[in-house]
Amino acid sequence: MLRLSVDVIVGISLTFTLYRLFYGPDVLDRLLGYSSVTAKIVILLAVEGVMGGREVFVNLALIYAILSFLGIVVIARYIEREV
Amino acid sequence: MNVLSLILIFTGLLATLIGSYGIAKLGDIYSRLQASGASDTVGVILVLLGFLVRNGFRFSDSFLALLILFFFVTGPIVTHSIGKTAFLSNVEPAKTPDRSEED
Repeated sequence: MLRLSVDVIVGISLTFTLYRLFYGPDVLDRLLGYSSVTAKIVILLAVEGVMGGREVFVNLALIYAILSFLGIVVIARYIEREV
Repeated sequence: MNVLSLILIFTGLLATLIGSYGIAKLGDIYSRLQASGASDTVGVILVLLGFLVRNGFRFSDSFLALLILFFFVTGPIVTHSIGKTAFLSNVEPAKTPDRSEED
């Protein structure tokens, strides 16, 4: 029950964030939407790992967070050099 | 212990929901950065802390503690990086109505 409610609430906020990711008028808006989507996906992976009984998913959440952080910082620096 | 974990988890979910609505609703990259940077870090940290309290601080949940520490460090770094890029790229803030000429 707790797992279902967490998944539903995170899914609703994921919908709002995906709107910004798809329809953002600028590159920076899409980058902001991407960073927020990855935070929500980390929550979903951790919920699956803790309450679903598969503890590998917590490790997957850590790796996903590290890779998304690297990607966001590198893309932000690249756009800054480009303009 | 269980009630405390439920309070932590649902406070984090409320922060996530309000922040996502702000990201979709606000009309400026700087305003959206404020909503995103405040809500994402607090939301993820509170939800994971709630799971950590709920499991009773087992040793096998040390990756959750590591994830909390990671988000505590890198959430402000991401917000600062996007904001710095927006400022250096001369992105104009949204115009607010000028109230100095009215009176």
